Amino acid sequence: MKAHINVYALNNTNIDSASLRVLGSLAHPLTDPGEYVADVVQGEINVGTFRLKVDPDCTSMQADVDLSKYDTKPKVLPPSVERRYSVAPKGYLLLFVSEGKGGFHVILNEIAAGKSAREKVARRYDTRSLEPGDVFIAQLLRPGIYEMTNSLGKAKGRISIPYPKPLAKPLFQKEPEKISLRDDKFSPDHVELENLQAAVFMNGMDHAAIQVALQEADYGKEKVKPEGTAFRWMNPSGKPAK
Amino acid sequence: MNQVTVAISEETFRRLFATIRDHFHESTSGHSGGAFSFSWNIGVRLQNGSIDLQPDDSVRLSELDVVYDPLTLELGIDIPELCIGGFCIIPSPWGCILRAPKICIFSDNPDIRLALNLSGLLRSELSGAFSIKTRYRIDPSRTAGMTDLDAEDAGVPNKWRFHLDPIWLDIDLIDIPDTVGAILDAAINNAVDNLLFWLPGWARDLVKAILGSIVDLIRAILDIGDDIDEWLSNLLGVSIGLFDFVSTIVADYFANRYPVFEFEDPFPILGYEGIKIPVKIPVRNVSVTVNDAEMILDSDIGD
Repeated sequence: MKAHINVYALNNTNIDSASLRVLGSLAHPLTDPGEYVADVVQGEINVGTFRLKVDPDCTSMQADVDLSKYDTKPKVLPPSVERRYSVAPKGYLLLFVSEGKGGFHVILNEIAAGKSAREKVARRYDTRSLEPGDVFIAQLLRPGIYEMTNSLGKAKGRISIPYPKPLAKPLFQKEPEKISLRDDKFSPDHVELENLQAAVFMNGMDHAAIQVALQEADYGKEKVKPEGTAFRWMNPSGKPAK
Repeated sequence: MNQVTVAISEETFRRLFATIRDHFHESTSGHSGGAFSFSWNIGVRLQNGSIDLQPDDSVRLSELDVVYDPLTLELGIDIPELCIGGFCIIPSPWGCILRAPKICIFSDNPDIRLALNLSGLLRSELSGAFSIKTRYRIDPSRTAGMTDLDAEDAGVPNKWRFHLDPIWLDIDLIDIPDTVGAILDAAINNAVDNLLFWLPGWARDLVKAILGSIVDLIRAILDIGDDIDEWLSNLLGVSIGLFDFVSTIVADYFANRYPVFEFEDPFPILGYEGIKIPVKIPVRNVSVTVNDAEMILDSDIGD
């Protein structure tokens, strides 16, 4: 057996836009041309940087940054070379974690064109506080009932995932369910997803942090217990047992 | 010179054949690659079969069962990479503006190994026609200076041997019972459970649901299609070359290794009696003919 199974994906039941792990991805729109240097922070530790150029000459509408490349797990070496990405204006910076323990946030700083990363002009974005237009993608695997909350507000809602059933054909991944967050409310606030179906949160608030956490696991058939009393002992004397 | 004729009835011939048939036991093992890797360990035995002496100086063998025991196959299969995500989040008339990342649950083409134990379940049927080949055997252990008496005392006398020399052999396709399909399916499920054994039940069920029918998936990887009989026959007959192996080894066994009948030369008439040495008669010019009732040996005796 040489299977490589992504245990972090199977074990993650707390998906948080403020602390990115496997199954939680964040897309941030970038409208104007410019150059940025991003600090990648895992927990409290700054584990690396990357440069991002919003370039009118670039044709790609999204820059995919796999934060697992910055994981401090011993077997993953820290990046020795600063990674560089580019994206077209009105495109997206997509931050995700393909494996590993995760727990990242990213701070995006604008720098003057052609200047070094040390010459930061201004902090433009911190993933711990979502901005309007941000898209948070939660790919829930563990069956059960989840609570979705805005950690920086009061919005709450529920998402349920059914226990997977054996199928004759491979499970089809349905189109994601889109959930908007506006006026500190999720809409819809009760969502029933199918297995593998993702929840895509479209943020319309100035400050938000979306968290989706498992509240009640569904154990499927393991949960089923026989109903009623299978056997009752009767006191042979006919008197009530004390 | 005197001549002797000995006749062996068809019934006696059948008993002689049964004795050498029951001593037959050969095996083959090996491994091979390709679309999927496989290894095998196969033992071959012979059972049943009917012998008919023919008027044309030949012996007809029919319905000899070739029993494969043990018959174990191990198939190595790569389950394809299994990823989720990659769907479009923000579409546009010009293509997808934002696409979700792909997260892989399985990667690096995880291997599973299917152990199939089909011992005693499969049978082939072998038929053929043989002539009787006469051979004179001098035991390699007999030294040049030995007399016939010395050779008898040492247990290495010369012998006349009569082998079944194949004229043709047919081996029919394997008789595959319906249970083989169930055994394969159980092996697939066991292999996947072994691969995922350390995962919680829900994760195993989810992975199985993602893969769909794991049995169908692996059957497709193995290119089994609807007909497991044809697939297994092809695997054993073509990929492993089992039928060639059986035909060759059976032909060699009867033609060269084990005679259907043999006797010593010189032929012992009287054994040791007190101080008297044994009486032995040389046998020369042995010939064999077969008719539909008996096998007849003609020979000259004496010097």
